[in-house]
Amino acid sequence: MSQLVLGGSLKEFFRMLVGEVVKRQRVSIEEVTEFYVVNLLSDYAQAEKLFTQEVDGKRDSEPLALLYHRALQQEREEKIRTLRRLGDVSLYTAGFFNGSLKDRAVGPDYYVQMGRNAYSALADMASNSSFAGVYQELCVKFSSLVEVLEEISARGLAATGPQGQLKVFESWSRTGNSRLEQVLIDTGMLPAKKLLAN
Amino acid sequence: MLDAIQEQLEAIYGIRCEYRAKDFLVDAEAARQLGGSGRAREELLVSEGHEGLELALYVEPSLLARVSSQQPLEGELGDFCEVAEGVSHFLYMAQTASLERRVSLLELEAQAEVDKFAVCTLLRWGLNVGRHASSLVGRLFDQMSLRPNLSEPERWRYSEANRLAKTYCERLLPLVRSERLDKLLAELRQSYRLGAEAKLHYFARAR
Repeated sequence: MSQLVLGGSLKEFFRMLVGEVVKRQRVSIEEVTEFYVVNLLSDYAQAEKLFTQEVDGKRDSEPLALLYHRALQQEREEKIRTLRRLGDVSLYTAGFFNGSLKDRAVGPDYYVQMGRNAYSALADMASNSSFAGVYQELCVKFSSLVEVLEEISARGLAATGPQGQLKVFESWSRTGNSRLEQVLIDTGMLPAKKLLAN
Repeated sequence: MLDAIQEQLEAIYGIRCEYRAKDFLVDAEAARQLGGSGRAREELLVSEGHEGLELALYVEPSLLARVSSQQPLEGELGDFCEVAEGVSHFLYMAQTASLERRVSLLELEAQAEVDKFAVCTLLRWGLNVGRHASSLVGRLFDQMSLRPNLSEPERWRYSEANRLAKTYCERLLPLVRSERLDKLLAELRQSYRLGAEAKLHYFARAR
């Protein structure tokens, strides 16, 4: 994987990466949903899209509860925008920061639940539009997509060099996640498993 | 009983509401005519009329009859909390209306969960209250079950209100365990007065 991706080719880069990982993990999703995920990754590659507020001088993301609360107060068009952000932030965070969420007050399950609910509400609201199917698929296959993003994140991290590889190694040591193990095997950090003949 | 619970809540939060929940109690037929869903054993009915906010509180008569003591026994806690929730909704709605502030359903539900924890904790103050409060968190927040007839958006709202209130009440436990009533009341009073977004943000904080 390239370590430096120019802005113009970012979407193409993620399209290739998502396609590869979706195929490897045998996740069956519609092309339009895959395209949605690619756009999501390209957008959130710019950190300011994910982190919206300053807390004690550090950038932080808005709590999901506040996004949800705001959506409850809004009229249809704004509500759709806020629910979409709620779903997208939940999916991206659960996929890209899954390891660190395990040490937080709200774990990955909370992000999965909030994201699913947001996409489900969007599917209901957009029932007459072509987006309904995309939101429905994002809701139903949310956990599978989290795993896709988790692998993309790990491969991206491992490609940054030894420091990133160590982070993936630590995550794998803690969780025993087989997808992280495969990333480490592919980058040469772990030996490939061989079948031993008797 | 409604008045006794309202007085407890008013004492906890250092407020006094000129309206009493017991005066707004309606029967099932009136609740239905006012737009009640008929699915819950307690329900606050709100409508915005020409002269301001109109409130009515429905509590199933058999539920009210079972909650006759201000010191509920272990087996009566569920019923007591249901009635307390109705009073909590009424009081919070009346308070926010008097401040001419709009209230959201998520905020209303989350505050009611905290109110139930606060009332039940203070009823047992001084008698192994730390252990009681810890077990209360488990009973109110972990063992809660949602009514099966709720819609998906309602389930989502109740679950999120429950999670937010749990996060906040867990943060209160050290104050309860150390029996710092002054600090506990100061904390509860401060959070009660926060506006919707600020309150939910505050509840959501892990520490």
